[in-house]
Amino acid sequence: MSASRVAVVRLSVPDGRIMHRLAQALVEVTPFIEVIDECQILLPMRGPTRYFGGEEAVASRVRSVALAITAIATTDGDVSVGVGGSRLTAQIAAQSGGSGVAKVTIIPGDQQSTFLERQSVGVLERFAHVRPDTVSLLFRLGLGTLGAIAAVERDVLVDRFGPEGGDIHVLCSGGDLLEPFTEPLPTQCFVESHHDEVLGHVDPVVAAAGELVGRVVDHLGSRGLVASRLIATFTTEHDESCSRVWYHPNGFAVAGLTERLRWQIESWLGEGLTAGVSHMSIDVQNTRPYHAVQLGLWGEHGAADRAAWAAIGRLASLVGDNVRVPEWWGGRDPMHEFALVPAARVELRDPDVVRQRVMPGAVRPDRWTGALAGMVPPVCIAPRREVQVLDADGRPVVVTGRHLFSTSPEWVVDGATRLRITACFGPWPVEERWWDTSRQRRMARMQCVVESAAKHTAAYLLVLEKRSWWMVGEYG
Amino acid sequence: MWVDPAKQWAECMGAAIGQFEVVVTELPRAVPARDVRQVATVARRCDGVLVVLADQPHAALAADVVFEANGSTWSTVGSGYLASQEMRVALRGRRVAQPHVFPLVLGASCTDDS
Repeated sequence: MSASRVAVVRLSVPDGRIMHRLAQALVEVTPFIEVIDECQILLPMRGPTRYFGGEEAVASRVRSVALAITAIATTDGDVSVGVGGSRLTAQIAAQSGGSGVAKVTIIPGDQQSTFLERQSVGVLERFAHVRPDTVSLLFRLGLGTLGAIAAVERDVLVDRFGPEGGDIHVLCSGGDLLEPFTEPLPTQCFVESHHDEVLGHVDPVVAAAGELVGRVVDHLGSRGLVASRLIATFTTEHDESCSRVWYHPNGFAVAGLTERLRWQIESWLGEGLTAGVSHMSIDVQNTRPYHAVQLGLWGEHGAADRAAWAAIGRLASLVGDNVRVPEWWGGRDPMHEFALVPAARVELRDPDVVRQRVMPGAVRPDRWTGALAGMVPPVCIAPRREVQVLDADGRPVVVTGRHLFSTSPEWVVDGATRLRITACFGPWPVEERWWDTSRQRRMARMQCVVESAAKHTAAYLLVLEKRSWWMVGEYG
Repeated sequence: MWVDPAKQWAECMGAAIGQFEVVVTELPRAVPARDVRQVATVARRCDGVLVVLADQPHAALAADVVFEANGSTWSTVGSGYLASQEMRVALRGRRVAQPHVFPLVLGASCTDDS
């Protein structure tokens, strides 16, 4: 039992800089820590428990180390510690520790089953990276708690959900998919790069690390594997080094791992090193079969895909997060149905994930009541431009409480330009979040076809909000 | 993909051309003619399509094919809302043997399903 007991240290407010300092400080307690994300760190308990004399002593030590960090102390010790027989148990325990003062929650081994069985199945998505549609299906099947899932035979879950069903059963039964990291293992894949011209800034280091990540993913991918735990090490010309253990139960894709390394690099370089980075390595400790990617007809991604990924990597090294890809967000605002998100922060290689990101309805709903009917303007005017809508007598046109125009719109005045309205449609009222005074939004939309003095025709989407008309989109 | 060109338009174009099948770009106003010529040279050497969005063709970027849209008209669903846009697109350029004009309809699939 004690072999797999772990502690999770949790910050209630995510802060990469503080987490980096916390991770460095916790190395005093045990050399093998894993940074789970920007607010959680995992420590194996076996070694420290023997050294410090019990789990309470270790947890107390961890808490004092955390509070000793100045930045954390200034946030009123907003840190909690959870100890349990599995990652999931410890994470839930740490989460339940509350905020405001540092708290320790230890789940003894003989109480773990009782603790887990009453947890909602939603914790699987939150802490164990189980897919949202799987969690939703478990709910619909009546398996709303971890106890209900653990009571089902493992083979039944495997039949219904495939290998993921087996993993879910292990988690709900208090087990771990991978034992905590207590000592380095023989490497599964090792890549490194030496840089004669040292790299002193974040972006070039991240770009070089991204190339290493690509090599790891390609190498393991050719064997149908993906790295689930690895050690990333960066060393400067003056032998200063930063080493981190990274773990992901589903295995790392390029974007996810590069994003973690970016955080590691940014935090480390932010300390003010005496020299630039001259060496970096990735040592893959554990792998797992890669179920997610549907390979091409001939078994691999095409050359065009690889060229595009490489180009995105090079562009990211030039302009950073300005390399963006579309993501479907939906909503009632036609100009924000798609958002542009940084390419480095999303998965680009897994076609299923890419499809889910851009397909309306795959993750977020595709139909919204109050959404604009008909054509969506292809040109978004950002930031939106204030205009005037006037009637034939030059009086401002507004929308009445009965959702009608006060008078017939005849002119749109856009700065010094006066456009005659030849056709207009609307108004269409939209009222969002009326129950929330801080976020409520009330507006009316209008489509109009206009003609300029030069007889040039155009069409626009206008919005009336807080008694002002705004031009938000153009049917270009 | 969206790239903020700022002062790195030529570098970004150099990284993108030839790696993507289609690259669409606006021509920043302040970009030096020398950079435009370099990008044009790279584009000619590589496979793929470079689409330049501009009101007027740039002297250094002699396009093989030019699309010019004119004469938009809109149709509506009843008197409800704009449903589609029809325009006339003129196709010309040095790789076009016979310049011609064809109609293009956008948004025709948008129908009232209420």
